[in-house]
Amino acid sequence: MKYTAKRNLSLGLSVTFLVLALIVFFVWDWPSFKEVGELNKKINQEQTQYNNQYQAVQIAKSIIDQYKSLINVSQTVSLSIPRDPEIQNLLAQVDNITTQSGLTLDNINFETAATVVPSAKQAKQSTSIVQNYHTMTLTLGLSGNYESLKTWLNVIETNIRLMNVVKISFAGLSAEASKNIDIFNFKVSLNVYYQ
Amino acid sequence: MPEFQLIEPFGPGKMPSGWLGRFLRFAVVLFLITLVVYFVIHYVYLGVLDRRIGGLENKIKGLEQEIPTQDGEEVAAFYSQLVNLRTLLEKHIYPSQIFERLELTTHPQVTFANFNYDFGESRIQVDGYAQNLGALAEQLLAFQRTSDFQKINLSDVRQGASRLSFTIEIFFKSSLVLKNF
Repeated sequence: MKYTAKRNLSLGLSVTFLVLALIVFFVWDWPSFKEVGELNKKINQEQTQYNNQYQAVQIAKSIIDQYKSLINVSQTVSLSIPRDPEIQNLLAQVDNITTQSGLTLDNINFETAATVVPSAKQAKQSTSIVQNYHTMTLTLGLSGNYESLKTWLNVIETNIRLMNVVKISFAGLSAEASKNIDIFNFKVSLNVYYQ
Repeated sequence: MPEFQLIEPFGPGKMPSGWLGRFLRFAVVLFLITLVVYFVIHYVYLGVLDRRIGGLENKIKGLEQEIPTQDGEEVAAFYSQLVNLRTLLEKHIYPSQIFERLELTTHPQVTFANFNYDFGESRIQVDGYAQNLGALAEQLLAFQRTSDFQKINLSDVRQGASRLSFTIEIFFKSSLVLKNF
């Protein structure tokens, strides 16, 4: 009987420990394994993000280095499409071109047009970092002869500050107003751009 | 006759055989392993993983600070300028070509007085004078044969004392003022 009791006790303890092991495994270990799996997944994601950002930063550094070596180009580009309206430079350029072409600047008006939003294609190509450019319309009253106007147009078209002549109208002065029939009054609208 | 005897007597008193002891040891070891695994994972390994995640997050934040904001903005502005400049150069117009074309196609007996050009509407309107109707007809024909002119409208033709006055409206193709490089 004593031996049987010992055997039953051993059997009972064995089963108890086995059941406890199963309980510990399913209640504590298994959720911990799952948590470890999730954390490892997060580590992989963070590592991938780090690698991508590291590459992006290296590319950005390289671009910044290239940009710093292209300061002269940047300054030249800024002459064509400056980052501000720079009306004072614009006035000086228009006045200089008008004078050199043999025309007289009678009047000038400024009008700021709406901001130009890049097209969907451009936006897609260049992502969202591209800033929109602005258009300003100048309406000039000029007087002079036809050849001077053609000279003026040629210079405006090839000027470093980008300008598009979108409207031109002129009529000869009446005989009462002027004895010189070669003199015309020109009205010119041109678009200039800034960022 | 010898008495028949079992080699091992059958009964509980003769069944120690060790399997129950091994089973008990196995159950205890299994239990201890599950406990150790839990404590190692919960109090050691999860902490290690959390520290690795924290380290990676700090490295990512450090990367973000490696590029000075001002430099980034400068490059973005320069890039925008280049993209915008390319867009604008593709659309840059040369209206002086209109005058060259008109000069080439103007009839010797026709004179233009008033001129209007509107790029937005792709339209030119001229008021002029012709010596006679034949000269005006030849002028119209010359304009119609100009490939960059899409549509010609003649209006307001009036016979004066010595000449005809007229108005011509020309709708031109954008290729007339755009240059392809």
